[in-house]
Amino acid sequence: MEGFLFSYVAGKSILHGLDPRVKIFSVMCLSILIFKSSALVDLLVFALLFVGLTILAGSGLSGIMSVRPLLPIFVFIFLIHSFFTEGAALFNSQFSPTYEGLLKGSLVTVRFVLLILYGSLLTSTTRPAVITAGIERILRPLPLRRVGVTSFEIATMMSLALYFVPHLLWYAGQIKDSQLSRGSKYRRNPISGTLSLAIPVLKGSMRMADDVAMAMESRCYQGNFRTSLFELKMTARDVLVCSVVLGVTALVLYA
Amino acid sequence: MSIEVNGLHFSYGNGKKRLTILKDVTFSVGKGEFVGIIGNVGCGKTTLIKHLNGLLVPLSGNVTVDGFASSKKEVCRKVGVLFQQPSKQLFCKTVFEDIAYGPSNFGMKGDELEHCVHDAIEKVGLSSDILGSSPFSLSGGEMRLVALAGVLSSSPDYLVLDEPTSGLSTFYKERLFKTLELLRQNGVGIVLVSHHLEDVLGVADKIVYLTEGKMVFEGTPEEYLSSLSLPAPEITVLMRELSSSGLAVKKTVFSVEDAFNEIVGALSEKRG
Amino acid sequence: MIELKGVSYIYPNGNKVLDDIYIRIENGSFTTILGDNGSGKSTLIRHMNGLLKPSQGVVSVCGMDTASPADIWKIRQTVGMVFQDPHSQAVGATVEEDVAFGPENLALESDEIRLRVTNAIANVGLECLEDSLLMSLSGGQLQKTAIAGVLAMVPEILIFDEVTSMLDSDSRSQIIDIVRQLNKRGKTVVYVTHHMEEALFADRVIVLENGYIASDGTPWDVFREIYASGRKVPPHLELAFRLQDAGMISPDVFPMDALSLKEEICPSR
Ligand SMILES: Nc1ncnc2c1ncn2[C@@H]1O[C@H](COP(=O)(O)OP(=O)(O)OP(=O)(O)O)[C@@H](O)[C@H]1O
Ligand SMILES: Nc1ncnc2c1ncn2[C@@H]1O[C@H](COP(=O)(O)OP(=O)(O)OP(=O)(O)O)[C@@H](O)[C@H]1O
Ligand SMILES: [Mg+2]
Ligand SMILES: [Mg+2]
Repeated sequence: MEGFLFSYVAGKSILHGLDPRVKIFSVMCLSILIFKSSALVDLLVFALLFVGLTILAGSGLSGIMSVRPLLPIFVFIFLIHSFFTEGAALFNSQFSPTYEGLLKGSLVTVRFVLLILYGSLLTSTTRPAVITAGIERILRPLPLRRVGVTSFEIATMMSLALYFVPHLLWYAGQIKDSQLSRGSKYRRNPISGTLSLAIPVLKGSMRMADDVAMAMESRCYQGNFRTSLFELKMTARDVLVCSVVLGVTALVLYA
Repeated sequence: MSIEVNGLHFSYGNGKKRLTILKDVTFSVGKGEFVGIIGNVGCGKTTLIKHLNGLLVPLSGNVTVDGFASSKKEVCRKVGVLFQQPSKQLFCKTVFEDIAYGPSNFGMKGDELEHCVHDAIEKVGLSSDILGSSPFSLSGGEMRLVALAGVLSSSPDYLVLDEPTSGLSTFYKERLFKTLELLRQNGVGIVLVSHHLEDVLGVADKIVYLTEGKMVFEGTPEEYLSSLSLPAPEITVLMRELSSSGLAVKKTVFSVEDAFNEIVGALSEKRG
Repeated sequence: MIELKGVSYIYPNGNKVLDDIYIRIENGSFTTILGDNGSGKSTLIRHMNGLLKPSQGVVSVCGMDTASPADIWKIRQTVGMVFQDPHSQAVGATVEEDVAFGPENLALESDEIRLRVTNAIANVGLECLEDSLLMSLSGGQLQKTAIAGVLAMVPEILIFDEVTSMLDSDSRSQIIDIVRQLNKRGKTVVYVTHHMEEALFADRVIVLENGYIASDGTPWDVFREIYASGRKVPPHLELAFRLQDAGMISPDVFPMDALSLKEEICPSR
């Protein structure tokens, strides 16, 4: 499944080795900084940083290429801003992009692209299971019990969702194969054709949810305390990265 | 008139993670021919099977069914496929609807359809009482049998079965092979994937053995049994052992009946 | 120890599947359950870890009643179960995560989890696929993952429901070897199968028929009985029985596999 947006690419780089909490924290700081910067030149710095980190992660171009499916959205954001921002019109027609619009459009689009890229850098260097473990540890000190959930439950829900979506797609594929090989192409009514896939898949997903619940139960899942295969341990390197990120962020924001 | 698989290559994924599964697979299945496909877990049998009715498209090489390219619509009518996961290929509200799905797509209606469904369920050996119940309230083996009935009901020219015997008890297994024998006599070409050599060797005209996506053997059951590098059924192993310790028995025997006769013959001769 | 006393089970749609079953499974024993499709094997073993509660009768696991909610976690910890359909028991995205799910719930240290996961995966022979997505595995590979998931939990009682149905003969004997070793180390095993060869290794064979117990005894007795009634037994055993009937080999040997039958027919000096 390589090349998919937000999918994990196994590796042994420094970025892969960092603690997920540090990575999540850094991405958050970077996002704040990206939002705060109002000049394209500043954003260029972040773009260069991204290129540097990608090289560090060793994932090559695949990180950048994986945002391709979002291209229409980027174009859309850009166009909306260029046309609907007040300012000096570019052409002498009633409906024309404005200079200000072009500027703002590119700023917003580049910000957005950068956010997505940094997000995908996080997910491409961190296993989904490790991300959830990281989030679980971040949430653990919060008084969640008061609202009736535990950080473990939230983490399990997240990892289940991460697993359930591909599983559901797989199931839909199986049903489609089964229908195709029993002549669904011969059906006359194309609408009922689509529905005749959607309905069983929907029903099947309910059954799958039951099955998963049963499988989890019989493997002793009970929602409160559980540990993780991926133990999180802050090393000196993690602390160092964390403080550098924090320092730089504070410097930029308050200096 | 046959299924022709020619120089088939296939791989999943792309880029760095491309995983080549099938390497240069070539074989054919004629009308009334029975081909057994054998191979270890994960060697690519299911992947191969999915090419026979166009669900997967070869990376290179080609698959034709009676001269049609496998991507053609007609092919799904000619080739009936039973998949490996019984619970993931049933999708209708009742067992009846599920078995009727194929034939009704191909234009069968009313009494004829009803008759065809009853006929199919009878062929696999289940009682027609279950026609009204949901396919998901069945046992694992019953689901597989219903799925099988759903394939038989469209009376395809070629039957492709992915591990149909897994999870079946001896009773239903014997029933299945009787049905297959009848179909074969009526000119249906059969491809059967199995991990049980005993199942395949007795009935197949041709055995194809896959190792990591490569065809390492193609030939008759007799030839298969005489090749020492391939996994052999227990009885054959026994016969080979007996023969190497000096008892005059035929080594390529795999059924209990033949083995018994051979051993009795050899022993009485030896003991005088 | 698992004890079923007068257990009957009726599915919500009115199917009566188990009928007044009494079974006592001793600690450290190895029990195989045989039976036709739809005879109630899966339904029966689902009672043994409390997934199903009997409509009538009592099921107890090591003295704990499966119907009492207070004990259920303890019961699940004691009894590990591998289900029949490998596709409906996956709970992780990758092989490694799926196998780790059980040990994680037991709140083990992560080093210990890592060790168990690596061992379990190596035991079933999936070393190269640790990081693969579950949905890109073949049927047999997924079935092995399911087995590893329970092996990694190292429960006291292990229940296997047709776990070798999609495996080739090498993998099958690999799995049965693991199961026998676990049993030798004192684990209780309940093993449902359609491969009668696998029943030979058990201390006890139970045959279910339409929800009641048709035979119950040592493999020797049960297979003799099945053979006498004209039904199929494992091929080498059928051959042995026929040779015994013909007076060709001694009538009281019970060969476990083809090689021991060979010794009977033609002893090597
Ligand atoms: N969708 C997929 N994406 C990537 N790899 C896959 C996919 N499906 C199967 N594979 C891999 O391809 C190989 C062959 O799979 P296949 O299902 O054809 O095996 P098989 O011979 O049918 O095995 P089994 O006897 O276990 O059913 C396996 O190693 C499997 O992991
Ligand atoms: N959820 C359910 N609802 C209603 N009936 C069911 C349900 N599950 C199983 N049954 C019925 O109960 C009977 C026994 O099913 P069970 O799954 O226990 O059989 P089994 O012995 O495990 O068979 P197999 O070898 O095919 O797995 C079957 O006749 C089946 O139709
Ligand atoms: Mg397969
Ligand atoms: Mg069952």
